[in-house]
This record gives sequence, C-alpha cells and structure tokens, in this order.
Amino acid sequence: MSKLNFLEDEHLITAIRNGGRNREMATDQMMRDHIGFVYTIKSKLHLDEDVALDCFVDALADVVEQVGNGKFEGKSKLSTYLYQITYFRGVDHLRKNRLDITHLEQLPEQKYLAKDLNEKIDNESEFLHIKRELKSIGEPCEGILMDWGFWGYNMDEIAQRNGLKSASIAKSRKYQCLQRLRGLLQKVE
Amino acid sequence: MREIDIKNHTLFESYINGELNTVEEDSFIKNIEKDESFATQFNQFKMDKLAIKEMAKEELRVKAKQLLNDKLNKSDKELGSNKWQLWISVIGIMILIAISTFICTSPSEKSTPQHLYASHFELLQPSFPRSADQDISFARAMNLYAESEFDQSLAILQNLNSDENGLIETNANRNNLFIGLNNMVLENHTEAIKAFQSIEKESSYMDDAIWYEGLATLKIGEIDKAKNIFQKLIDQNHYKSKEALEILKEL
Repeated sequence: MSKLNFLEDEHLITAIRNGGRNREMATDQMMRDHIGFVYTIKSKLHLDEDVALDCFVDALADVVEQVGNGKFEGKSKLSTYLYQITYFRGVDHLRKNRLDITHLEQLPEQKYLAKDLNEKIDNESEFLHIKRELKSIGEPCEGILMDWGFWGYNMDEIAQRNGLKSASIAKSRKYQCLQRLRGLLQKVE
Repeated sequence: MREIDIKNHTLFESYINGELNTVEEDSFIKNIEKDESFATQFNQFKMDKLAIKEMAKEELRVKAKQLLNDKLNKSDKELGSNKWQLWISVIGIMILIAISTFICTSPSEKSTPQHLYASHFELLQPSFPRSADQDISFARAMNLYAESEFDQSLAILQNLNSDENGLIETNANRNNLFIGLNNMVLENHTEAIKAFQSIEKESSYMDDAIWYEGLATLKIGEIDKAKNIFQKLIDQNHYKSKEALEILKEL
C-alpha cells in the first residue's frame, strides 16, 4: 500500500466520521473515483447497467455507514472494500434471481456482509412499507431525517440547512417527523 | 399511537454509533434480551435508519447516473470516429507526460502558483434545493451554473442576496459560496474572495469556502496569505488536507 493511498484513505475515513458536509464531500469523491466499478461488475457478472449501478450505490451507502459508525476496521483499502461489497451485491442479485453463481469467486468477509443483508431481507415487507411512507412525508421532514439519519449533520447544521431557528427546534422537529412517520405506518398496518 | 421515548432514542443512537463503553453496551444488550418493549423500539429505530439510508441511496443513484452520462458524453466527444486522431492524441499525450515528468523531477524547479491553481481547481457540483418550490430562483441559478452560464448564474445569486425580504441566513451563506465560485470561473478572484469571506464560520458551507478562498488567493499571487489558509486546512484535518499539503510542498 503506497503512502499516498494511505493518506487518502485516512482523510476519507476522518471526513466520513466527522459527518455532515465532510461526509457528503467524501462520498462524492468516492463515487467519482470509483464509478468505474459499475462497468467492472457489469462485465464480470453480466448484469444490466442499471442493476450494476444499483449495486455500486448500495455498496457506497453501506461503506459510508460502516465507516461512519466505526464498523470498518481498516483491514483493507477503502476502494478494495467498496469493490468487494459492490461485487457481493451483484452476486446477491444473481442469487435472488436464481441465476447460476457457482462459477463466481468467493470473497472474504462475505459472512459479515451476508448477515447485514439477511437482516434486511427478513423484514423486507415492513421495510418497504416504511420506505413508501417516508417518501410521502415531504419537506422539511425528508431533509431533516436524511441529514440526521444518514449524513450525520449535527442539530445546528440541520437547523441551518432546513431554515430552522435553532438546534433545539431542529431536534424537536426531528422527533415530530419520526412521530409523523409512526402515524403513517399505523395507518398502513 | 406510542410516543417516541426520547431517552431510549438517544441511547439507540449512541449504541449504533459505537459511543457506549463496554459496561453500557453489555447493559444495552441485556435490556434487548429481557425487555420486549425496548427491543421493539430498537427494531423500529433500526428500520427507520434503514429506510432513511434508502432515501439517501435514491439521491446517490441520481448523482451516479449523471456521472455515468457525463463520462459517456465526454468519451463520445473525445474519441470521435477517427481512430488515427485518437492514436495521434495518445502519442502526443505520452510525449507531454514524459516532458512534464522531466521538468517536474528537476530539483531546482517549483510549480508556479498559476500552475498549482490550474491543477487543483475543480468546480464544485451545483447544489439543488431539496424542494424546488421553496427556492425557484436559486434552482434556476444552479441550472445556469451547471450549463456553464456563469455570468447569468452570478446575476441571479447577487439579486437574491440583495433581496432583504425573508432571506434566511443559511441561504445567504449558500448563495455567497456560489457567487464566489461563479466569480472564480469569470476570473474575478478578488470578488470571489470577498464572497467566501462573508460566509459565516459556523456555516456548513465554510469548508468549501475556505478551500476555494485558498485557491483564489493563490491565483492572485498572495502567496503568504494562501499558505496560511492551506496550513489552517491541514491543522483542521479538512477533507482537502491532502491537496493543501501538496500545494504547500510546491510553494
């Protein structure tokens, strides 16, 4: 591993863990630097481009989340880890569509990745309900919840970005938005 | 409808973010095993986070798709249909790289500020408001920015900032960032610096602003000021620390 690459990973990891705008910029940089993975798994796994793109985006979100909450142990380069997850998601797509995957290479850490995906799949119908209801929430709840739940903005930043007067108002609004989501879910159930 | 238990919600966040110590974590896990209500709330919390992550993926998907389209269009334009032109270009680029490498490895040579500026300046992607209804003028300014109509984009942004009716502070900071960027492309670097400097320090736009202020300061030849700005970025572990370090090494 060259010194230059290590520094690059170190800065990306710090930026992602800092959350907020740093995380967004680091994510954008990783996307720009590794968008080529889409074409790589498209040709290796014979996937449609849209499916390959979905795999890449899903993997990128996974990596950002895992780096953000400290689960990424740094045993490999970020780019390698991102590629592994992208590839695995492609294999998972083929498996779900009952396509033959016996000829494909097995990757390390697959057991760990599979656990996260299986956890999602077990609750998939409930999960899809939540996803639909979240979309119908609209602004500013959509913005506030994404800023809090994925991008890791603090309450001061969330207040600024969403035109709210203070961090305490933003915090209160966040809970209102989550409460609203619960209300929508109750109607679905 | 069950109210969200804010105390538990805060605890769930801490657990997911790895902020609990070993004792707290053990206690948390035992609670999950013993207390069904607690476990249900935690499960709901995780599902909410998962769904929010899916929403973020939608945004990322749009950006990635745009990136792929841009690369495709760029490839089509660059390659063209004439293979000989392509080979001549490749050979020409290899010669240029060889010459540049020879020049750059000369120990007595340092890159000029202009060269450093050119090699590090990359225009920020436009920032579209979450709801176009709320900010039609800004959205129009961003569309013009994306289409490289920088003077028109600048005019709209300057009008927005001069409109005192209902201007939210955060919008002024956002507008000033893009006023600065437009001015940089239009070679009005002094005006760009003024715009970046008027962004509030606590603003989430400050990170980008300080990086571009450094570049603009470099461009107008104020080397010492530029050095101070880049050193500040490194000290703050800014996301552009690596680039700042490269520039400082060359100056």
